[in-house]
Amino acid sequence: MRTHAPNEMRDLSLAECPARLRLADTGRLAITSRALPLVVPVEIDDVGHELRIRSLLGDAVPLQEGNVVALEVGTFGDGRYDEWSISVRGVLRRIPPQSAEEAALTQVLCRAPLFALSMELITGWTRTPSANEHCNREEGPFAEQPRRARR
Amino acid sequence: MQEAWLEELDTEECIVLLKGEVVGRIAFVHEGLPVVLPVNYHLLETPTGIVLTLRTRPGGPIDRAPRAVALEIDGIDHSRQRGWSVLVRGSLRHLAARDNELQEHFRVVPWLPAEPDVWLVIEPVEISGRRLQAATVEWAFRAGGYL
Repeated sequence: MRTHAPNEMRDLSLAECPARLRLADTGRLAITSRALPLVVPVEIDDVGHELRIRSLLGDAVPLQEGNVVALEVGTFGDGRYDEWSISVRGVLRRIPPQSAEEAALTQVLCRAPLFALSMELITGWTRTPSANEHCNREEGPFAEQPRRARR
Repeated sequence: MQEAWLEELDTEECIVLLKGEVVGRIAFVHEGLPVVLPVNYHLLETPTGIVLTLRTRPGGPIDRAPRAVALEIDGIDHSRQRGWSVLVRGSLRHLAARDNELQEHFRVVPWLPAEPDVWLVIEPVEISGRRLQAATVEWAFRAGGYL
């Protein structure tokens, strides 16, 4: 079995990506609004074949059924733990409230509508920081993602 | 019970939050589809305003990104169901030789010494932010009252 050196980035497999997604509860959703990009934090729930997502900014962001979106989920710590990022591209589908109570709670909590996100394309990477990396943390853990580990 | 509500953040507050973070998500449109990537940034204050500086790998997606980009940072408190988000929409460009003054402020010591990098600047066109205030109850259970 191949081990990965500190700082080396490697792609996550298709099996690893869903496993990591299940650990996360927040992501960032990019949409295109009038041909310009927009990013909104969302809460996520992995239900297996698709993700359930809801904007954390109420209905201030115009998510709509049929939007093609990109979702990024990742963890970036203080340089002492593994960092990883997963990108999902898919299409939004609106999920209406299942009951009057749920609709009322959504309003009281200023919650945004619930959407399902199909996972048409999913990619990810991970990286194990070197032991002294956090000393240079202000320089940044990565130049950009995703990218492949260099040989 | 008071319902949760969204509060608009003013520009000054957004800038304070931008100063306090080093990782954001940059989004742009590539071939008609949105792309979002994590990125390190650093806020610089210049005589003409603020800019966000990014370091990236030559030839990578961010290096080849179009001019119109958005960068988002946030802080989410799931336990209290509240949080904030700041969105910068702006124009991305490569750091040019004419930006000598900006270059002096850059931390140019590479994180991976053998790795070349490219520096880019986001010049904000619009900075906006929102804070989600959690719903509050009109009464509170105080455990101390029973001790």
